[in-house]
Amino acid sequence: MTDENGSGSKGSEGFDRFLAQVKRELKSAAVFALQVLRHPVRSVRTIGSATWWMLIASYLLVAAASVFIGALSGGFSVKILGFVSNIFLSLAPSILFYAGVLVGICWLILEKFKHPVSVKDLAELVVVASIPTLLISSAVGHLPASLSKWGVYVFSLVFVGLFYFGLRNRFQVAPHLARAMSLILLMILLFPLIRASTQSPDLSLSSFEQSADERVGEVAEGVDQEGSGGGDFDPKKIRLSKKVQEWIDREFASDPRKKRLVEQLARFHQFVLDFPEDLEGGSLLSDRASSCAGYVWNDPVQVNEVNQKLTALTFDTPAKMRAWARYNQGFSGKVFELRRFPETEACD
Amino acid sequence: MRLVFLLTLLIASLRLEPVHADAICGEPMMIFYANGVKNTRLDAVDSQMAVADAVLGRLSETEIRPSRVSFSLAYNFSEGLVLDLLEAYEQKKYEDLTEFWKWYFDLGIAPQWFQDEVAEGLSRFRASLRAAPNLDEQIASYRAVLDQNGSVLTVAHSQGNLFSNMALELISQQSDVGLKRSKDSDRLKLVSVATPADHVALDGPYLTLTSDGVINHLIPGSSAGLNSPLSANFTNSQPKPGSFDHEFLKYYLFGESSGEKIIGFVIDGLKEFDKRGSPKARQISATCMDWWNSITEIDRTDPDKCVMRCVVAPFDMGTFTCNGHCEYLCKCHVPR
Repeated sequence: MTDENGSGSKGSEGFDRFLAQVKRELKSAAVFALQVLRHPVRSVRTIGSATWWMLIASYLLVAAASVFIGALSGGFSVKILGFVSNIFLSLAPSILFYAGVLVGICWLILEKFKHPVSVKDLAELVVVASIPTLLISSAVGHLPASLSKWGVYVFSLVFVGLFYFGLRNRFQVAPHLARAMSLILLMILLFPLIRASTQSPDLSLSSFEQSADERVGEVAEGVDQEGSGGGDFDPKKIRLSKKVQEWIDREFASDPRKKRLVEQLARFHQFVLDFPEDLEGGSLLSDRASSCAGYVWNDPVQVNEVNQKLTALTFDTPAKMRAWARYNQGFSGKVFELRRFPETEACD
Repeated sequence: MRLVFLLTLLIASLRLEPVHADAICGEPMMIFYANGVKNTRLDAVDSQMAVADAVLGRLSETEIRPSRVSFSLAYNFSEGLVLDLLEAYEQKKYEDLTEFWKWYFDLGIAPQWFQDEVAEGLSRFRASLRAAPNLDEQIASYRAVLDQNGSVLTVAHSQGNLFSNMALELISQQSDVGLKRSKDSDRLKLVSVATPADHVALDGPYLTLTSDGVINHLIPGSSAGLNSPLSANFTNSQPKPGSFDHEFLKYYLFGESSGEKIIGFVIDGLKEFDKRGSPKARQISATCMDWWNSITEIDRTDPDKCVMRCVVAPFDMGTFTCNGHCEYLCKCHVPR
């Protein structure tokens, strides 16, 4: 039994130990950096050795990661095929990223199995092991691009931290080896982001985000012109009618991904009803929804039928229907290049 | 030895080249989709994407590089037809639009008077197109491609055929006069789907389902001084349920065999464009490709030699991959 004070002092001691550990690690990292400078050849050998084990672990873990992530996203067979082709041709950074995630999860699993396993342990294990995966999928899949970039940085650091402490505490790997492996993992995780931001302008992440922001700004401008308030425009703030929301909740309760897509399509319809003159904003919303439909629901015929239903539910009076006709007439005679958004942006 | 192997593996794992590397060697080809009646812009974009996916999926049957082919939408919407229908509906003293939308999207379940209104509206629309419609932007887009020595192929559905016929005929008449290079009309093609028109501009192929109730309903429209539409010429052996069978995606592109036929027309058209390029252009294209194949990856990413261009926003944070279609535009080193 531990009283409140006891548990408090234990927590404080734990934190002190953690701080001391961090200080020690920082110090040894500095020593290691000096060693690398003094003995570059030996360092290369050390890093090479570390890489060997890390790659083997990644190769093995990535199979499980592909199945796991694939099963989560519903694209099981595609992910498996993608994995097979990628691993032999060029290891996609995504694979290593997911491998890093899996390393973290595996470490948690191993930590749990140090003691005799109870039902409570298993339940806790499932919860603890699911959290990183859920956080990752939330961070990189459903947050705005600007946020997910920082999300990736943060989670990369978190998982490298897990990886490092796992190596040190669970596997008793020598500190310099654990550091080297962690540094390499970190480099691999962050390399795509660094590379993307130093590429030619068209490929840079910042220019992409900037143009996305500008496009959203156009929507905001359109909303402002109609006098619906200033500030950043967030399509998710478009309120659906009770009738539309009830229909979506009823029809798509069992499939959250499709539900999110249909809500996005419904918001576009509502936007047209509210701002039939804002062609730019409407076309941005609809093109994003069309792109998302391709990723989430690769059946244009069914998407078309959903659109028809949403049209009927949204424009349910002659006056509203005239707004719908006016909006579409606004585009008549115009030419549009094919515009596809990446999944993370389209389905956001 | 193991170290070398490990380093090679490491370098291989960092060879992050997720973009689609390609060089545009050859004249560009633009595929337009001209939508049909009752299509919102959202519907038309969905159809445009489906056409693009279907064409790109079969491009391997040709020697045409995907980077040469791009896609556009020539959108049209007949507000008058929709509002006329609404007026007719309101005159029946209907206030609730539930029935209107059901009938509008599925003419097969609509009462006869509603079907007749649609047919009459389309006939009126056909007749009204004799007066110059707004085709400026469409013609300017075609012209821009032709001016780059490119080719234009339009896939038109339903009333999109009426616009496309006029646009293609106008531009081919304007530009075939006094030009030394290959005639522009050789670089224009139209693939007609469910056409209400009595011909296909520039003698292009067409496909109309025998079960297409909208086009069949148009025949009485010939009384308005117009010729009857081209007769239906294709039957899907496994028809989908629906009594009017006019929608582009459901009945034509994803019909049992009609979609394959339509995309086949497009592929044939692209092959013809490719063949008709001038011998000199083909020589340059071949030399360009030889050069492209001979240079190293490092050369391709050298900004002095190549510029990378991405057609859509390129970077997918979810998978860390370049999701868009990116290509290298390289200065081809063709010997003179």
